Amino acid sequence: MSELEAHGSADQSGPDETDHRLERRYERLLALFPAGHRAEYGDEMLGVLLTAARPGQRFPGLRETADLVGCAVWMRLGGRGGGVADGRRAGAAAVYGLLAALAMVVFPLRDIGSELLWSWRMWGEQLAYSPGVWASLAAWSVAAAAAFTRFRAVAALAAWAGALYQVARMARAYFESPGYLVQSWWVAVFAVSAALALTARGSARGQSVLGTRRTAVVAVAAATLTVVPTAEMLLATIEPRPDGFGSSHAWGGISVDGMFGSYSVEGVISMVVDPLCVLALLACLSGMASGIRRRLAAMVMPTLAVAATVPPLFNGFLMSTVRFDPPVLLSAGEWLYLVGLPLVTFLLGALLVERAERHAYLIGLGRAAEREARLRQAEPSA
Amino acid sequence: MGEPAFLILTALAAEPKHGYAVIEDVREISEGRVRLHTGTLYSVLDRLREGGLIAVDREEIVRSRLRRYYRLTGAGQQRLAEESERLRRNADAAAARLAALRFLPGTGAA
Repeated sequence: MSELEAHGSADQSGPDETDHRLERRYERLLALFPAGHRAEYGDEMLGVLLTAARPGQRFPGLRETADLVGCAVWMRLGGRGGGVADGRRAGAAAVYGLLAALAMVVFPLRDIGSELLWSWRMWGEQLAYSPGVWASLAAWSVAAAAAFTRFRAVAALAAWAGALYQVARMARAYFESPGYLVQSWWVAVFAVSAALALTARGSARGQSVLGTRRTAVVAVAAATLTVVPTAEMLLATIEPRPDGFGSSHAWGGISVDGMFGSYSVEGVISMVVDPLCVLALLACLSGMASGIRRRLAAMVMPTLAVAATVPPLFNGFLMSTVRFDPPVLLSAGEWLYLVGLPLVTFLLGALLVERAERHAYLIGLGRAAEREARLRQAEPSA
Repeated sequence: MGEPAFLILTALAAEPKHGYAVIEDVREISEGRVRLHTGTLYSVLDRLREGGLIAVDREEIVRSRLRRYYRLTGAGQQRLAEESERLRRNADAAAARLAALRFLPGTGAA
């Protein structure tokens, strides 16, 4: 019997045949590896280590220990080797970072395009935007463009610059208009989540994870969403009056409140095209691998939680603060909610993703073991 | 491609193998010269999986512990063939130069 066969018959043996102390020592060494790598290969590596152990061995060998520590440190420092294990997280971060950065470009552009055309058609002059608005737009444009490339640092730095501008703008306005901070808190959470995702994506690129067809859908939807308000304004009937005021009527005879942002004229074009674009994006993302989809949901959850709960919960604050001069500021409990909610929601999402995947993995293993047992049972009778 | 990755692909070219069998086969292929340690093995396996050169063939539970068999993919076969060809060309070139060196006067080799 060869060495391999001898090991094969008793290999990856259970705790009944292996020194528990050696197993525990190997487990401690394996704990040095990043969680993703451990989850993917930990059990398998332990099996190989115990199989390769000499009979009666109580301590990990010096070379084996050096190799394990060296590989773990290398991976912790960002070295290659944790790819498949961490691939889903990096892939989801790349997709989320790309989409969020695009959203941070598209939505301001919708407002700016529509407002510039409105002022030009109404008064024959252009609105002036502060340099900060253009700088923020430029930062997010660089982040979105770099998100398509492997220039991770450029994308992350530009996104952080855009996110910090958003936070600084809110902080500056806080003492005069705390309502603005509360109402735009979800934008800050979204911007920070985009910057975090573009930092955590590693070398993954959103379009590689999305694939060509989905990337094309995202690009077309983003471009369409950008130009819809401008097209709406271009086709609208604008009637300026000599007193400086005027009225506008959307093309098609229907004027509605904006569903995806608020801009000057919203009519039938916005009502049809905007939801179609959002539906196309959702359909596109719903077809992705479940591991990526779950993580995308966990990443967007903090923004959705803030957007859904802050307006109703802070309605009283928003109504009352404007009645006082100086305005009433947020209490410690309200701050705790604003800061804590995104963090708790994200951690909860990450926990649910991990639990769901562990559950699915264990079910898969159980089924495989059941299949194997059935095959073994069937063998003697065959 | 580094030597461990090349030898692992070579080991998997014969048939799907689990981790320990790969270590043993690599030792045999390299005539005992290369002894892969577990940390290195799984870091290379992960990289090869990520690159699509190998894939998980099947999984088993052996005495409450996971045992995974890896196999070479089509891309892996092609990459291994290309790498073998590259090494062969380099080896041929080196052999030809060494053969020519033996006949040069003053080298002391002839």
